[in-house]
Amino acid sequence: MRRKLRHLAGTLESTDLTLVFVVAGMLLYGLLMVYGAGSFNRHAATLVGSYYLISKHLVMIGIGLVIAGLLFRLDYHIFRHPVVAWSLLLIGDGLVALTLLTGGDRAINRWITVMGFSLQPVEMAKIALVTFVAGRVGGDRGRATASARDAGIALGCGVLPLLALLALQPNYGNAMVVVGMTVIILTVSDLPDRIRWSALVLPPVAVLLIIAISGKVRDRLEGVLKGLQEGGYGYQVKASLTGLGAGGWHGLGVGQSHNKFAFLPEAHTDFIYSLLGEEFGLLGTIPVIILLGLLLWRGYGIASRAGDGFGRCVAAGLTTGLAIYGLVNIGMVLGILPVVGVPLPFISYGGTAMVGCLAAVGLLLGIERNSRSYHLWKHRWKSRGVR
Amino acid sequence: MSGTTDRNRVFQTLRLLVVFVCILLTVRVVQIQVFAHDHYGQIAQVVWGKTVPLHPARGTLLDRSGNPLALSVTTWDVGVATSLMSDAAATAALVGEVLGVPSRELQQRLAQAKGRFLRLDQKVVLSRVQKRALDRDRSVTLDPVVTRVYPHDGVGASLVGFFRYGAGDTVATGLEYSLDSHLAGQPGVARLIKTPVGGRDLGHIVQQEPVAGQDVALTVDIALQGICEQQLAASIERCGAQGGSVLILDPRNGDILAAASWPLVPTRGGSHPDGAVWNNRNFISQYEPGSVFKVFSMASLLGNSAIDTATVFDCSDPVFEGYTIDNENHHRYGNLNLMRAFTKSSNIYFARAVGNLSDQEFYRDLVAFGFGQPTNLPYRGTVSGTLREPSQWSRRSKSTLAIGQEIAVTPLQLGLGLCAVANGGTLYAPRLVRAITDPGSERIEAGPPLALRRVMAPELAELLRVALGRVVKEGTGVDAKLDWITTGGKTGTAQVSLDGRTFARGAYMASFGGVVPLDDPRLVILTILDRPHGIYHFASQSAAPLFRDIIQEIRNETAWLTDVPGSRTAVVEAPSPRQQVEVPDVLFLGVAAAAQRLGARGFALAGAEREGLVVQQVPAPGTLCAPGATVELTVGPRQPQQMAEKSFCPDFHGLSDRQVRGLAGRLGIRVDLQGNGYATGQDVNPGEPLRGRAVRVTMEKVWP
Repeated sequence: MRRKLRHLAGTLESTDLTLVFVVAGMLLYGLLMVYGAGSFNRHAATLVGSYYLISKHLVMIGIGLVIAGLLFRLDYHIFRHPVVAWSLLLIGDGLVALTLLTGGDRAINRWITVMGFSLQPVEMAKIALVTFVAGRVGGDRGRATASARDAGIALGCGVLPLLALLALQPNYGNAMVVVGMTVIILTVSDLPDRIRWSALVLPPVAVLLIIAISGKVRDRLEGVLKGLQEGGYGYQVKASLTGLGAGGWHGLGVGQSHNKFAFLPEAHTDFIYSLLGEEFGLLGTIPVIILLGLLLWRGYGIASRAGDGFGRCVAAGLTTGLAIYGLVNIGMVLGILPVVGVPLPFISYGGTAMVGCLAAVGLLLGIERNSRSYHLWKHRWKSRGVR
Repeated sequence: MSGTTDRNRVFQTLRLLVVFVCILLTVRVVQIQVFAHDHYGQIAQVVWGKTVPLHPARGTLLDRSGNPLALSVTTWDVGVATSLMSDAAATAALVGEVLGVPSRELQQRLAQAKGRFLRLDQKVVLSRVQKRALDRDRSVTLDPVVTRVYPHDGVGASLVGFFRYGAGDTVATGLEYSLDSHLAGQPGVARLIKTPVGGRDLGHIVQQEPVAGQDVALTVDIALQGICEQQLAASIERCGAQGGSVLILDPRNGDILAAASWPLVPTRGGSHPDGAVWNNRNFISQYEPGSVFKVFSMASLLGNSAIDTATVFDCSDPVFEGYTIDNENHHRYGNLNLMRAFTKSSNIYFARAVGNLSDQEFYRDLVAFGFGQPTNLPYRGTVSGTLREPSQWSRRSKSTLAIGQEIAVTPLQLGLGLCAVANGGTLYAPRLVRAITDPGSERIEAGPPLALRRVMAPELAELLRVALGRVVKEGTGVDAKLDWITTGGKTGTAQVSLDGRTFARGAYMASFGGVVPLDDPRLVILTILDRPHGIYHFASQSAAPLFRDIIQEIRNETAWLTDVPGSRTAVVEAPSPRQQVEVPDVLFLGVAAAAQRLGARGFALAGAEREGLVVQQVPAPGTLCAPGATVELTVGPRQPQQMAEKSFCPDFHGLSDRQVRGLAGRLGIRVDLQGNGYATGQDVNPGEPLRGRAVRVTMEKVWP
């Protein structure tokens, strides 16, 4: 019993509790909103019952927490093992490729359906990619450098194939996430400085490339620019702003949202932040921004403190993924960024993304635990004069 | 080591970037939610659908015994959302049982349904159990539709009016309109959820619950109302009148027991070209009452001691100082005393008698009776009638007023005045609403009867009642006489003034205001026929018989006149009209046809052992009997064909149509009746051989 307690105390000591509470807070907001939005389903009015969405949401949170727990317990260095890294990468990319085959005639093929659950394999592929790239470009305590060849493999075998698949789907939101994560990982990696800084060139190049290739993205950008100038947004953003604005500073009240009655498409997923603002007002919107800020602050903190290059790269990559998700999502709901299909982490209804985000947090906490015990160990080692 | 600080600087930068972006987002959120709140609020008003009123449950209109006259019923539009249907067979079986449709047929319809939704039936009345069963199947959709139901369809329509729910074009007439403030309740407010998906309404959010309307119990007795309407319609047809009304009041408290009016709105559906049909003539229309008004003239004359019952006037000269007032039938009666003059309805007597009365006295008495005064009846459009002040009277005004002209009254005012005569001199305010009940609360009485004032001494009222009895016994009202009960009343035959000055030729209002029973008045009945045809323009020929027929029906069908003192055939047990069936007329029919006609009404028959024509039936046609009673028939020999050919034509002159048919039936000759009334001509002279041909008999509505 005492041993168990001591073990628990040790676990708590080595856990970033702030991060845990931040995530718990966001999950709570999400539960409230998904419950409200789910009490109405536009396809069948109220006939499916109020618990349809919330129950699926809870199942996904459960799965995500289990995975996060496992990742927290597991030594994250296992992902650095070539066999694990390569096989995860291949599985991830393979599943994403599968969506292209099973998608049928749909214009957008992002999902595969397993046992009634629609899964977005890209969420798993992204984590696999982060660990793969980080494993290549982040050193460990033994070898603190990486070569240009590593960078080449990371980009050539990891990033480019996934980007290509995402472009085929098409899924620009996640392509943007992948590019962002890669840039940050490379920047904070153990690569030679010259290569590290040149990574910063990547995003503008990628963005320009995408704009050049895809007319759709160009149209959206123009739409946003026009919207910012004249207030002429697309339907979804208009509805989103209407909801937010009508909510005012104190909101319409819990469950009083109008937008959820099919005025705002995807109200419970990508546009849940608008719903939040409509029902809770500023009391909902500003705390969520603060929570998100705290989450990212802690995430980058974990990365900077990580015991080795691999951990640093993984933490930086995952945090960047969450950052792009969260900030872009809110920006898009507020009508200052184009509409790309990214969810608000821990709040949006969306099975796989929820699992992915929770898994990322699990990994982050694992890295923090590892680094804390490392620093602790170093501290004790020094104070005992071992070294 | 420089790499580490370098990287830490990257992380610092990233953290600052995050903070910066978060601040940016916060500013934007505040801008949207605080500064642009009003702007977006206005947009939201437009986009998010509108506020709609929620119709409260409308109160029920009841008659004095609690029979519903008008009530709101929630019916359901039943449909199936085929996209949600999991087990078509089960759904079909469930819905089929409720709707009474074979489940196999339903299943086929569901299978062939196109689209996501199939409407199966509309305005279905569901029991609570059925509703719960249907609710359990999530593919079954039930949309409530509130409808106004009139259980006694037609009866009382001229009084109750109707109410039709509509989205903004709600229609209400009659009492449904007049009592709307009680019946309607408070509408609630709901926000309607419009949706861009599929264009279907997705329901609403209730912001304010509606408050159900109050139930209103009327003083009206639906049985009396039914009798009045039925008899009035029959009488109008018989007399060829253009319209008419019957009003029954309770003289003991001023309750309006029945108010029939004709013409009647034929349907409760939509518009009717003639606006008059929406209104109840008893309250809305005013007319010159004519001789009925002599009751009040007499009350004023005697009340002011202007004359006494022994005062005699010479009633042979219709010429007054500068004007002429004659009797309706131009009869010269010579010297008449008050009672005789009243009984014979002598205009000349009353016109001369009021000479002893001052203008002010007469006017004051008429005002006291309520003429020209508002009645405060809760029926919209009720008029006060017209009674000019003495300063506006001409030289002949007092005389013409005495015989019920130069004054316009509503039937209600006339009836209330007669009530005062009947009850010993107290004028009551009319009462139409007996009780108002709040939803979910105890019964609230709408107040006791309101006695307004004493308008004459009880002795004078007694004298007037005797006079009314004399009219029925030996005067113009003999056709209102019944042998089982004492009645009293006064006829009135007034020319219709179309423009207020000149009188239309041959257009009369025939009215009869009566009291029954005379010894202990329980009902005051006022019958009015508008422009009856021919001989029926005399109230004695039209309005008085209508009064009599109504009383007869009241005894047959209700308990209002049972156990009445002076009634010789007091009915011990009130027969319920529902258990009684009228014996059909099977006289002069073949046995087979008679058996069929009797069987259809549920009667057994006896004495029909042989073929032939029915020559006698006991009980007589029209008698009310319990169903299953035996009708005794006497069968005569079937008229041989050759006998008819050898027979001679009888004299039909002066016979009623029934008598003509009876005689022809007995003799076995065929008749062809032209018109109705009494036989005035026949195309074969009496005594001439017929040789099998039919006799054409001309019938006219004239006194034979």
